[in-house]
Amino acid sequence: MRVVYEIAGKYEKPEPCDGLVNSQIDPGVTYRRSRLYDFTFEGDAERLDAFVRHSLFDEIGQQLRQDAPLIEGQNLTLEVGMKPGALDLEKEAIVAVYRGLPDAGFVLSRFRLSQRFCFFGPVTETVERRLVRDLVNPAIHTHTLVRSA
Amino acid sequence: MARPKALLFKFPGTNCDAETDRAMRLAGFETDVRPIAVVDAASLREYQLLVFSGGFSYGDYVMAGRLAQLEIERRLGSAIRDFHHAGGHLLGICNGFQILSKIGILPPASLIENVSGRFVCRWVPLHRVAKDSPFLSALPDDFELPVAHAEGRLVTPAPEDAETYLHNGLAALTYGENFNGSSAAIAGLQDPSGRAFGLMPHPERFIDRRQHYDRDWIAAEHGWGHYLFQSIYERLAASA
Repeated sequence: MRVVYEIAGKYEKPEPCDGLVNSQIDPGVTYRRSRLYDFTFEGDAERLDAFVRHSLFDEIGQQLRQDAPLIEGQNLTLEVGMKPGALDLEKEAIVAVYRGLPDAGFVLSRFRLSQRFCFFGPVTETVERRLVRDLVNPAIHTHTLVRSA
Repeated sequence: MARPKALLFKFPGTNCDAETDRAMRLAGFETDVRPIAVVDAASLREYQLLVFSGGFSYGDYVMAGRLAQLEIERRLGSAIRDFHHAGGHLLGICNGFQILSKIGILPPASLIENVSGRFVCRWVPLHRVAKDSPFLSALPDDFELPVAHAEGRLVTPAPEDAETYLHNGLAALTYGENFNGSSAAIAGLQDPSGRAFGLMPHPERFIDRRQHYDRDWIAAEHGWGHYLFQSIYERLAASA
């Protein structure tokens, strides 16, 4: 079975990209960011859900959605994750928590962690190239870009 | 008279433990700094105060303080809560406050990204709300300390909870200038007993007058942070 959780800050609003990229960008372009946890597993889906809610989610400050986008209305979506062969310390830390469970109730066969950046406003092709250049390190990252219709 | 003894937890990424240790020793404490991997539940009985220092435990992965919370639960189970229920004191500074808030000893709250979306390193004016807090008794009502954090904006389960915390004394410390957007400008929380206290500012970074940005600062004999550690030392020494 496969399940994808998307988690984002409950209080976050679209912010200017100044803090995200290395040089000034059109101030009309704003972004929100979320995290994607993509699990392929065998076993009890409710136990996996409980693991995610206890270990990866903070219900006071965050919102969570399963198998559906949490952020909508963007003009461009950029997802960035580590290449399969690259050492992903955050992923390893989460897997270590899972392995430390005395009786998890599910068995992970694949786990992928990525960040989703959703851009709003006039995202031209020039802006798109700069966002990819600054947010993706091709040596260690894979990425996907989706332009909204 | 035996000096009060404090244990400072160290997680991978904790980086304020040495400064905090020095500040606590100057206040009179006997201290041990121990990596979480070598702390066992039984050893907590040796101490009157458990301290969670600042830093970036586990690289702030997932969210600040979360992996440290999970590691505490895995290694120590309910030992920290048992220590607290048995009358022990707990202090969390910055990342330590983030950890303490996740363990479930402090009133429900989360420390999320600053409203600016950026890491902020500066001095802030502070107001002591809980005058009888064992951690704040030697401080004046208004003082200042350095802050350095990206995730320090305090939010509560319901927006009105923050005001309730102010009115019932759980919000022990507030910002004079709410630079990070915290609900009700809360900078520090305590539990109803007052024995657990967490704050985002760094008292260990202002224990000497010379650490103040104004070289001519003479408002007190020591930096304000020293008086926080002195407060809890005096409280524990008196009850020893």
